Amino acid sequence: MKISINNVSKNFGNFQALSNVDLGVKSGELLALLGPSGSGKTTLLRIIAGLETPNESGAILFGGENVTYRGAKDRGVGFVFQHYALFRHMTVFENIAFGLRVRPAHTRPGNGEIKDRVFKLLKLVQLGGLERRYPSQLSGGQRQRVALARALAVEPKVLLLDEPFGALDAKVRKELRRWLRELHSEIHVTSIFVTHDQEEALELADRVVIMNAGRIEQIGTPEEVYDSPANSFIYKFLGSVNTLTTSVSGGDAHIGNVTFPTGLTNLNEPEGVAFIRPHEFSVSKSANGRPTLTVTLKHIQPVGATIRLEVTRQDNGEILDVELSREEYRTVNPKINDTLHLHPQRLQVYPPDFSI
Amino acid sequence: MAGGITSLVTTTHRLTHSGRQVLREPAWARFALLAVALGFLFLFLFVPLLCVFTEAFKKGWHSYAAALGDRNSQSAIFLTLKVCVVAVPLNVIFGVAAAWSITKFRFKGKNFLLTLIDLPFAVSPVISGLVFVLIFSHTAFGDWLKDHGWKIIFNTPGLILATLFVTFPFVARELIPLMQSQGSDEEQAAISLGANGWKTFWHVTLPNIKWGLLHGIVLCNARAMGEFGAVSVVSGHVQGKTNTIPLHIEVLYESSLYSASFAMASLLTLLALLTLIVKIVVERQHKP
Repeated sequence: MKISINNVSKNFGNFQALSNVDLGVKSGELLALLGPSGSGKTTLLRIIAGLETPNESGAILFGGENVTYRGAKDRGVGFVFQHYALFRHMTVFENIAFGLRVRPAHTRPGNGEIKDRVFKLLKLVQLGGLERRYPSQLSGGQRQRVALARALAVEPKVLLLDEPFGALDAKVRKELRRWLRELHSEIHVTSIFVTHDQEEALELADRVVIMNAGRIEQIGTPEEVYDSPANSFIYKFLGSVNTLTTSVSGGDAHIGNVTFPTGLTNLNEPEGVAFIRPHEFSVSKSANGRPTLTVTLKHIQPVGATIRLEVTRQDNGEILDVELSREEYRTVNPKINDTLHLHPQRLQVYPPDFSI
Repeated sequence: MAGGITSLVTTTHRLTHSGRQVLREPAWARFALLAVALGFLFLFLFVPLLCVFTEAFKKGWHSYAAALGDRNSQSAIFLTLKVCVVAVPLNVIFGVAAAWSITKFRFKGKNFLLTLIDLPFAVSPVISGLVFVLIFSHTAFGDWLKDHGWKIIFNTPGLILATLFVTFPFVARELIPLMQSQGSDEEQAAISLGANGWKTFWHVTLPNIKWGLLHGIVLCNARAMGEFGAVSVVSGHVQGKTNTIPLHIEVLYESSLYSASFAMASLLTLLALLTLIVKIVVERQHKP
């Protein structure tokens, strides 16, 4: 089911939760709405579900059909709530069967068929044998999967998930993420999930929609948004980043002795900011005749497969983070208080942002 | 380093130890507090209870049965039941509707509604009764009703109205905190699964609030049967016609028919005990 969101805004009293959002969701894709808290991502999801109505200007289309004022009951969406919202007084079986049981008599499947479908779903979400348990007797990950099975039982045209892994611990989250990815490639229902975790969005989604302050900042595949962030907000939001004071002229950024092409030919900015990710430096002990950024090594922190170095610029004292693989680290073999030479492999400069 | 850890451990140990000592009262103080609490309950609850039943049965089973079988007593019992049968269900409907709208919807004046629900607790029952008397006997509306043959005050409808007013906070007050703590996620889930409003209420909300609701009904009913002040004002005290159990007890007592009055009182006391038992059972069900 293709979804079009046209010019959707939403106010809660004086608070503008969404302003003029336009978004197209392709049929069968897995889309992430990513943003910090308060960015409007959950509001947008709830508007798509029909749990909120947008301001009058906007429209929601499901496959060309305008559903803006159709309530959640009649939209045919499956919604997985952040805290699952399982019916606490019902067994797992009854939870999953609920959507079928409440159908009007003439479209309600018979008891036998309901049973077949519930057991099929239990198998799909790998919870066979737990149908008689109550939600309080399940672990967080199991509840999550019951919520998913319950949403899928009504054969939704669209599956919506609000922070699906938010309440789980890191290990379970990782497992469920992989499992959801596989499930989606199996059933191929158009799915949208909300998350504030950039790693989750980049790992799971076909496309990522990055939101901030009620607006969409960028839409793209995980590679696109990570490799070419549209603005400084996204650059900072998607992973750790160094900000370096730089002057920009003639299309080049000048950081210390280093000159780096920016592609922004008509920008003249004596006090601009350059963004460089910690792993995008090449590090050596000698300059080898190249213009480099000279820094002093202050701390060495091994974190899993990478070594994190904290260095200060010798020209202006700015603190930078540098990440090296263990191999690179061994080759350079730096010691605390050594002078190191950094050469950025890529950097990004954005024209000044005049919005607030 | 090792010394540091040891000393840290001892300090924490000492801290918890002294912490517990701070919380622990000396034995005599604990005993005194317990004695005060139990003594108070004995004096003001148990003794009067015992008194009611001994007085009621002072002249034996026979006169007890006779007192309850008296025509006026029968009428009072029947009237009380009649008032409760109308007032309690109406207040259940009102209470559920009020709690539902307050906890599940966003609207202006929500806090005002919450305050209004508490009003009967804040107003003296006698005043509540008086308000109804004034509305129905000294206004154009009251005259109009009288002209059309509707007798509200000094009649059963007046008793029902006064009881309704005095008891309407019970169910709502019981449900609002419960429903607030449960939130509306489950209802939203039910609706997104295609359930209509009624099915959502019946299959999702009601099972979640049933014990709280029952608790509210029990309290509401106990108050409805026992209400004296408001009912006294609107009743008119016609024996065998507009006297409820509490009013009839007063009449019997004033006429020095002590054991008969205590026999009637024992009915309300039994109801109170029953209420207590239901409450205990309900509360046990409440926490799994």
